[in-house]
Amino acid sequence: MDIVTPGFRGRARDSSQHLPPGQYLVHDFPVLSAGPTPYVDTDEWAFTVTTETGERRTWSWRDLMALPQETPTVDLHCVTKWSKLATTWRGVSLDVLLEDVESAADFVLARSYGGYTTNLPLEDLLDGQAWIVHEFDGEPLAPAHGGPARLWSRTCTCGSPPSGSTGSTCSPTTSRASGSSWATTSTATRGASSATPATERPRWCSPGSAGAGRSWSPGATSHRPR
Amino acid sequence: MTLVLGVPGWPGHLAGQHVDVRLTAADGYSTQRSYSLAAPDHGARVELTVQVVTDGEVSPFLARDLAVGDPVELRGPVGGWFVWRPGQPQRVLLLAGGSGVVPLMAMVRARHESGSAAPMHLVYSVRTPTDVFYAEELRQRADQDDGLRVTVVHTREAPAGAERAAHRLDAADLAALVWPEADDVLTFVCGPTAFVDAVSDALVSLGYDAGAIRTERYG
Repeated sequence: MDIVTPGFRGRARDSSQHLPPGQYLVHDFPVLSAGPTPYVDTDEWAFTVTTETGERRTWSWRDLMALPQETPTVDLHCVTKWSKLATTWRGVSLDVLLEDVESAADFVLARSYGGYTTNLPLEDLLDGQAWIVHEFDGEPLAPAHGGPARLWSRTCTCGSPPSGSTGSTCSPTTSRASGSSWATTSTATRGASSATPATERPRWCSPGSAGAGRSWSPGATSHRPR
Repeated sequence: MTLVLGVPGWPGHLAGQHVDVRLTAADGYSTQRSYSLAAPDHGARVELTVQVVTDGEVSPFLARDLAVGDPVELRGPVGGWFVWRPGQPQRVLLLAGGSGVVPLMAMVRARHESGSAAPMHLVYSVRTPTDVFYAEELRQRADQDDGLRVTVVHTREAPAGAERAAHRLDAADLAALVWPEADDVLTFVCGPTAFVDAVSDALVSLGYDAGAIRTERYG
């Protein structure tokens, strides 16, 4: 049962009718990352897939640009409660990149420039659900948002970041707050440089970061607002 | 505005962590926001500092309408990366932009309470002298705590007689302020995105190891 906070009504709902419950609309583009922004030259940029057998495939920037490009347009609903509507991206589908990759793995460890990693089910990267994107709203993707290219997945993934970066976690225990029928897009993975299918089941939410094990404490009461 | 919550069964937390606060209306609507923990672990007493966003949905309610004794839901502590543990002997560089000082204040307080001897330097950027959070306490800590240095810099209006004219913290400021040896310094940067980007890029240009700079951005 939800704990009702007396007097709380929330914002007028009609102004946010396109938003899932509890989300607020942003017009800028929040940045979520755990450290300084990596600046990667497209001359040096590479995307590498390594399978569980050690087989590697690498694409240069030029290789990536030569592949078929798609332009998905989506609404972003971040777990930190901001939403950004009708964002347009351009990039290469993971279906294309993984087409000739042989793997029996169920999970992927994605590693980015800057050292950030996240785990997600391989099935969330396939069938038109994920891209390596390099343009946002018609412009080259800015480094702060993962440029020159980032992994981008439609699916709600519960990636556990190495950081307290609030946008990068998705806790099943809080899905109620945003309405379970709404997909939440993780925007945590930046500047993907390699995607390594992992054979071990990943640890979704590590102790110490936002996790399924952390439950809401309904008993918190205000002592002394001032 | 600092909010003190009683949370029976609170599992404890580390300086730098945050919590999610969830509010639910009588009609079932609910929303949540993240707030930094302003103080070290004090058992069931949890302290949050909330910056009021004038047209916000949650912070004005917390600041003005929440009454003593009202229940809210809390989830946390959250974050395993942007944390400082008093046992860590390394030098600690803290860079705060505006309300980004809150989790860093928890580190200053944790250092004080633990008696840690780790050298710590807080560089705190504010718009004007009246925008300093915890001003009196910071003065006291800087006076009394050996090895703690607090530097307040101003972006829009400097105090009368200040040597430094008001401007945004830049690489030249940082070169003059921070430890030149970039090895073995734990660095925490927290504030608005533009501040965090400018400061962390400047630190990298000064030779600080990008992998040792931990950032937390507000929006």
